[in-house]
Amino acid sequence: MAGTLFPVEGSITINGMQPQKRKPSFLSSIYYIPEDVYVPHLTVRKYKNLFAPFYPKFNADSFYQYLHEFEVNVDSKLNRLSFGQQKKFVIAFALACNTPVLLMDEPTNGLDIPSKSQFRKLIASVMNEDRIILISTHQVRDLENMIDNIIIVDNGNVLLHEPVGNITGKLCFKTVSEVPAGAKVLYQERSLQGSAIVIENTTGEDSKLNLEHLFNGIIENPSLTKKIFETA
Amino acid sequence: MNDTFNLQRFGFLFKKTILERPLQLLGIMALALIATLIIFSVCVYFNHFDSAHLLSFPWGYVGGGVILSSVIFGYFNTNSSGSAYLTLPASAFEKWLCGVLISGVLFTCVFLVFYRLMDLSAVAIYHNNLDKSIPDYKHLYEMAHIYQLDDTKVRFNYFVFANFAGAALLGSLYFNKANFIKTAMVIVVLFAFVMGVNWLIARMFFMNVNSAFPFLSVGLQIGNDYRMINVSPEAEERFTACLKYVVPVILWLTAYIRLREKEI
Repeated sequence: MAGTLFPVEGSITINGMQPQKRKPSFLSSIYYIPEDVYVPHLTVRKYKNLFAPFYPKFNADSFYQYLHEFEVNVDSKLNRLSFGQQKKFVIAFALACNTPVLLMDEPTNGLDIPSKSQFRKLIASVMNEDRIILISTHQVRDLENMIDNIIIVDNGNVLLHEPVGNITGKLCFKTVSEVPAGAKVLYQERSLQGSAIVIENTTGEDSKLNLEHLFNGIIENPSLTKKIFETA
Repeated sequence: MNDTFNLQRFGFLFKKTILERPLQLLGIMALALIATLIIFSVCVYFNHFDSAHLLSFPWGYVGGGVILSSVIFGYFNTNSSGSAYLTLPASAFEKWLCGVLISGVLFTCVFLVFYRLMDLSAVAIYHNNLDKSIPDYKHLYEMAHIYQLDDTKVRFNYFVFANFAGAALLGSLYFNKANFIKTAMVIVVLFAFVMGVNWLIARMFFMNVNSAFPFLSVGLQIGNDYRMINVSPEAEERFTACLKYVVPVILWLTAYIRLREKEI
């Protein structure tokens, strides 16, 4: 999607543009944050001066505000920052670029607990209808409350692509002492309070999405998932 | 938005390329100039002006240029820096042109200006220090001369530079790690392969083959008699023109195609 790897078959378009052509008009409309971020031997200000001109919607005030929220020192040299600080710097820069599409690969890896919380707040504050933020992560608990569309991919196959509302409408996440008879169990995990289960929601019950259990259930039972989500 | 070339965007890219890794790019240029100065000074110290030119120019220009070309696209050592470079909003043409301008044009201009200044200074110092009263003053005076930068020997260096810098540039886009060494190995293996195949082909046509240079000549040793069979001057001219102009153009242009198709 970022144009760094080309599709073996099929095609990808983002806002009508093909990423693999890596046209500047496309590249200035997306920002990709890889798991391991790259920062040159520059100060924050020099980095901004050299890289920001490539992004027409870059907002310097927002950039410094995000850095302040993340507690990243503006006068520091980027290569001397810790990995977590570097990551926060790149996230702040990416958000300030105001690109319509933001791709993040494991953004919370390397962040300490307060930074993860700051990250969630920041993402929630910059999210709007014109912006797509696609987050690829294994740290599902870090982002549980801020996701509106979930795509679960295993070995290159899309096993689930649904809005959170649909998922909680079709699945029920709860802890029970005994699994209800006749329930279609997608996932079950023993806990101190009983068994945490993910079952088909046949009664319209409201429950809180547990991404980790959902992920495990879908990976373990792709055929049952398909059945549940195919039925209207 | 012009997706192929935009002057303002190219300006940003050029500035970013130089200032993002100033130590690496300007450092290599500076090292090439310092190495040239050292080789030149040592030879001049022993009054070997011809050797000074013949040694310092190719080592400084070709050596420095090849190293610089091998690092100009040196973003692909890691996936993170590679993807940051590929996703930077500039066209592949602008990125390629930036690399070509820095490693090919800018380095050449800086080197030639430096070389001429160094040469002029050395010759002036030498001439000023000569004692006009000594009998072989004229001979000694003429020993020191300015290197003509359009001389045949110098032109040969330009062509060698164009070939090897082009190969280094292309190699840096094919090999993500240790690209300089891997490119050098490919060149050596390719050269050995061409020489070997050429030798075998020559042996198919001639007995007593003593030497064979691809596309140009075969040396035959019959008893004590050594004879060379050369291709016609026209064919030789075509071959050298190919090495001077066609091969470098292919190498530098292939680097552009490779950059467009580069994946991380």
